[in-house]
Amino acid sequence: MFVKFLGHACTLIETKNKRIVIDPWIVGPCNVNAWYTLRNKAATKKNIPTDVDYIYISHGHDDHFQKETLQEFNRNIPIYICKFPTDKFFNKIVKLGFKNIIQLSSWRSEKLSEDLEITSIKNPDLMFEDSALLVKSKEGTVFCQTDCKMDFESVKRVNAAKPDIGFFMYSVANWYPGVYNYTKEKKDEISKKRKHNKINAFVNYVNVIKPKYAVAYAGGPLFPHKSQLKLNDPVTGAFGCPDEPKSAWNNSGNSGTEIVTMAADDEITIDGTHIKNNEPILSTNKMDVLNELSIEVEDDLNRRRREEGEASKKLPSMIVDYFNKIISENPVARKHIDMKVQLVADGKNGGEFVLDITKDKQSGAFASQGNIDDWNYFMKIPAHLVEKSVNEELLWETLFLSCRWQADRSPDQWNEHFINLLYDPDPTRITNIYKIYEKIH
Amino acid sequence: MEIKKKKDMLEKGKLVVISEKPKVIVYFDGEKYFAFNGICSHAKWPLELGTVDDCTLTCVGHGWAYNITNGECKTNPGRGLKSYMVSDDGENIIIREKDV
Repeated sequence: MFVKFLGHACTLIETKNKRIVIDPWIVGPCNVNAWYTLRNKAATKKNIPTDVDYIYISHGHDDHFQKETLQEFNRNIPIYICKFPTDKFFNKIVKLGFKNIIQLSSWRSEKLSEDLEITSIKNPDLMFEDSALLVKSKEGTVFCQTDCKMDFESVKRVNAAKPDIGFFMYSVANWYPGVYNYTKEKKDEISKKRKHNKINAFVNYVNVIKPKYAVAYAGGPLFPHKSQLKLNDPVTGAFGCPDEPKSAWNNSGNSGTEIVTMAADDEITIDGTHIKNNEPILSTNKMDVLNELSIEVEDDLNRRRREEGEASKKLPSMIVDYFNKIISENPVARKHIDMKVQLVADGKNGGEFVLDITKDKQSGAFASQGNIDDWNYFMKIPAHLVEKSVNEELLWETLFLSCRWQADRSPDQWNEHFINLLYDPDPTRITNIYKIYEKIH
Repeated sequence: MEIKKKKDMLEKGKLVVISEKPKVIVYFDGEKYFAFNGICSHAKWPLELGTVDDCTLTCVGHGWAYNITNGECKTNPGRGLKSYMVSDDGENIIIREKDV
């Protein structure tokens, strides 16, 4: 049994007879032509292991569920996913043409063959769907956290499964503070803190689960577009490199697990033998690698961005209609969101829009063109990307993760309810969530 | 609910579990004692593993941060911890429910 690491959160696990690939994002950028995997050179289609028996996908974020890579697989290959409260993710896979999608209940093991068993583990969040995976054969057990934020009970259960190798996330994958209107000093301070917290979480996950070998993965991506190079700074940026969690583990005083720093395309056998096929990207060489990658992909990335097109003349009315619908349909979400949003669709055919999602507003227009000074949240987003989101071609969250926008907030605090509304505004989902939320808070 | 514990089990700058059911942890900053629910509201990680810096307790699981003086969640407003009243009789601290 061995695992080939294919970059970011993608692992190929091979037993004597079977191969399963998990979260295949291998080629091209993701998150609206912004993220690249941490590799010395951009991967090509030759790097995609299309001759697999099974695919597992942890959740619907682009860096785990990436169409360009998935299009290379035969549509008859069984795809396993976690059974989530909604069918949203299932339906996204159906749209790609895959015919055999199997939903696994959390913690119910599924025997795929004589020598391969998988167990999907759902995250505890009410508002976001994600999962981790345990893969077991007669030779050993591998745990893949992907970027699932697990409840402590599940973490202890993974420990009880005695994994030989564990893959653990170690880095922020978020737009905060990158897109916010903070001073450089404040942004740097928040970034450092966030990076520290994530690396600390890596240390604690590894310490509770205690595999024999732990690999730091699902970490920070590279942003090679010239307009986004600053996000990559290994000192002041929020996105880390795998040498940082290793150092943190070694300095923590914990023991019993060996941290292995793997580069994309490296392999590790179940007894911990590390086969190096590539040079890892570390905080010491990240910027050199980035600068080379930025030149390598420049033409392709610019072409991809040009092909995104431009906003149509109908965009202003589409924005007003879209937000009027999702805000009016979700009174319980309004009660929790309770804020005014200034949305700027930036560029040709864009405009300024006010979204009134305050708890006291019960009727009338919730969205209109115009601007206000007393906004609680400010978003300036390229108009053509806003159009894709209001058309439901692009998840708001994917757009946000691209970091190709600017934001501000007053008061300066996270509003999970607003993000939850945008994540999936389906009124049934929202109502069900708040039935539970209001019971426990 | 009333929990009485010897003060000598508490150490400045440490998060100490003083009750398992309900789970209550106490933090002593050198001058004051703060008591609150010891399980993170997010994913139920044990908060005694966390770190305290400038009255902010950060959970080691996923970085949720709480104000230890009142239990409010700083990272996810509205998802705070139950906090308790703490009194000091010289030898012991006494933890009680806050008056509603």
